Amino acid sequence: MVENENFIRKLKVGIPRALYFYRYGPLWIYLLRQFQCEVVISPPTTAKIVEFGAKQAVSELCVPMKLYFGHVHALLEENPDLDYIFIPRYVSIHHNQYYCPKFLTLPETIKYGMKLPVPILTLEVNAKKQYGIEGAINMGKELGYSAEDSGKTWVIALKKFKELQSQMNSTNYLDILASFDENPSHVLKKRKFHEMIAEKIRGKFPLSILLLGHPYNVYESYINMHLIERLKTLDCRILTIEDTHPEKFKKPVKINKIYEQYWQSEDEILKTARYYLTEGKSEIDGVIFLISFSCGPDSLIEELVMRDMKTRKIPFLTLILDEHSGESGMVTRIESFVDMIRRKKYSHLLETKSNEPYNK
Amino acid sequence: MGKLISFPSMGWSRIAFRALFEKLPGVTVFPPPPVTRDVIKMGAKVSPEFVCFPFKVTLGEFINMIKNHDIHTFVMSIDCGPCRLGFYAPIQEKILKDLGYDVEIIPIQQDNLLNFKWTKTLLQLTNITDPLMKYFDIINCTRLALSKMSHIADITRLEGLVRCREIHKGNTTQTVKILMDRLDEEWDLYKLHNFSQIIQEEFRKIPIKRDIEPLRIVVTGENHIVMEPFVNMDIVRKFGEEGIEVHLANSLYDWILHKLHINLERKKLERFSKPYIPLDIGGEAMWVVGHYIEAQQLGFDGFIHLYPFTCMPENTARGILEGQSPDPFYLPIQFYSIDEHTGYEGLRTRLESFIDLMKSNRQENPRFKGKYQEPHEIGKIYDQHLSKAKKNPLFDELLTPIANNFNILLSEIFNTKATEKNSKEDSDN
Repeated sequence: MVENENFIRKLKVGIPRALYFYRYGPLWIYLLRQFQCEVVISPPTTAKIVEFGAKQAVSELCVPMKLYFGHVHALLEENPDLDYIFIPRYVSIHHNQYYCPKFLTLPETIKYGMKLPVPILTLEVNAKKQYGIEGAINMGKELGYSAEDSGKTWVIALKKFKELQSQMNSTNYLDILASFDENPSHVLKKRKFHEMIAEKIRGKFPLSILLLGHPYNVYESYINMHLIERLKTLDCRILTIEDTHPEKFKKPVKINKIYEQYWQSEDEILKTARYYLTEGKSEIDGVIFLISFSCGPDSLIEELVMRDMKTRKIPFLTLILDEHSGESGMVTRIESFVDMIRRKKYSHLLETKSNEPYNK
Repeated sequence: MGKLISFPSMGWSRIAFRALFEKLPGVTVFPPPPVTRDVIKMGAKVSPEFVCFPFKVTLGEFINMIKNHDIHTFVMSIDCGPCRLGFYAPIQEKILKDLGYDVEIIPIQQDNLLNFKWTKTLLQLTNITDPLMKYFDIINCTRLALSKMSHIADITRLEGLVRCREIHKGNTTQTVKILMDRLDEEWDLYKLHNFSQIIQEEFRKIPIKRDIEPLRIVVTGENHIVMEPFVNMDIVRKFGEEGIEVHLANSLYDWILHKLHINLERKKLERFSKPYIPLDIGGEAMWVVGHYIEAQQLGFDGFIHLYPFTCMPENTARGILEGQSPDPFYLPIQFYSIDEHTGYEGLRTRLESFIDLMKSNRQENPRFKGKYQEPHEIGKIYDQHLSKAKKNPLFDELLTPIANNFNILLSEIFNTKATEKNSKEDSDN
């Protein structure tokens, strides 16, 4: 039996490690494995991937989209015997809400944008079409499964994914994602940064910083230049959207009296911001918002969040990510921001000392 | 004197917007001044860094009207689609209030006109309390606005077609200005009904060259950018003066019909673009791809795609159009990404080189040789035998077969009336 199984070649499906892989990646992998496919994932982002993406894509698209082109290319280069490339189409998961327009036509953008030699396997998640079950059934049809089977598979995969999601937080997020990748050469090399705070006072003046932004910006350490590790060397505790309790996401956000917001991808950012502006105000000392250049939804949402932070007087920094941005420019901005917050937070210590005569 | 309101202009569409509110009791309309460099600067200064350009222009217009004309109530359209347009009104209001202006932006829902949410805005604005009379006014205003919209669409379309043929430069521009001014002042529904005759008469006065075969291009893209001539550097006029026949694809009337779900033209384009963009992603992305495929089939010489910098749907369309060229998309296409830093000179050099490319294509490439067809609108105006019968463009095809039976009778009645009127007017003069 074991020998026989080896003879049957499983379908090989590749998933690009970009965009919403950082949020729904485990779900897709569960689903594809349930469908008896062999799943391969593209390598972590390198300079080559960024370069290819920037060359291939339209120059005005946002960086994560450009990375997607690069990852698809890297996937094809690494696995020439690929049967399918998995590109999902996320339309909506609530009624009257949509993802960013770029997600709605992602399969077509890739298919017609770079002339793929491999067919695309797509999963449509649309609230108007039973929240993904219909998409899963269509996907099962392509792979040769009956509608009933693929419906059940979707439910099982979704259940597993929700269990996993409840365990995830900002510290173990990348490790859990990495555990799905079986290729040993894809291990993320952890860069070591020397500690910026002197050993004597390390841990005495801690700060906690909220890192807002899409998961594909926050956890994509090549593009954001290892922001999380860098902040940790500055003696900061990081909070992200994943650390916020899921109950806080239940109530919808209203922009003004008449008007509710309609972007699914922006929803969690606004809800997290709302929680930390009201109940959880004492939990954080400052906010960093990561935006990729020319991101459509973020350009307006950032304006809203910034103005709200201003009225509540919470320190706020916007970092705009780009494939051209340099490392040192980023580092100085983070350092000065953290220094500023720290000085403000512990100013009462400074004042009492300054009254005393200077010793030694 | 009622509540003083205003709205962003969007090119000639300001005439239609004015018609929508002008006759509403309790409302006084201030027609928005035309967009200038200063207005754009005002808007770009206070708006977010890489938001799309229409946001900056409309915000600039609001600030200009608050500062220089003392108006504090604006009407702005909102949407529920995946594109950024839906967020304009609330965020602009927030920005303006943070700047310290006392301002109110009243949103008008245009996501689906058949659910009649847009009437709420009009109901909110009137001061009439009787519920029946309210709706009477709204119907009246809507009729005026729709009628004017359709004439604006006709005029702007004819403008592009006629300018390349004119013998004396500048005639078309003058005619368009005269017609638009006349349309703006016309408030009689019956006369508006027959305004298409006036349009034809005015255009017939322009002396043209009939026998030339100019290059044909389609100009399309994001609605605001295409319709606002200051923003797109008046690209329709530039092309026309270079002797190129411009088919302007966008108009407000077209858009409103689409939102009323009765625009068959757009439905046809959707079918063309279905394999490339399967669902509406906001903006004009679907129809841009559709227009492109249609233009290629009809043997056009070029395609111009205008869109605001960082526009999400239009960039998606651009990616698809670029990725599929030269096979199967061989029609020459030029993209203009427009924002507040766009300069005229850079646009001009690109435009001229594109014209040279199209010219050489016409002469040498068999794909573009001998495909020229004269647009039927030109024949309608300048061929005398065709231009007589038409009176109402909307019901032409439906009513002419029936009306033909009574043609003689009708013409007699109308002729007697017309002669009486003419004689009266003559005596008045």
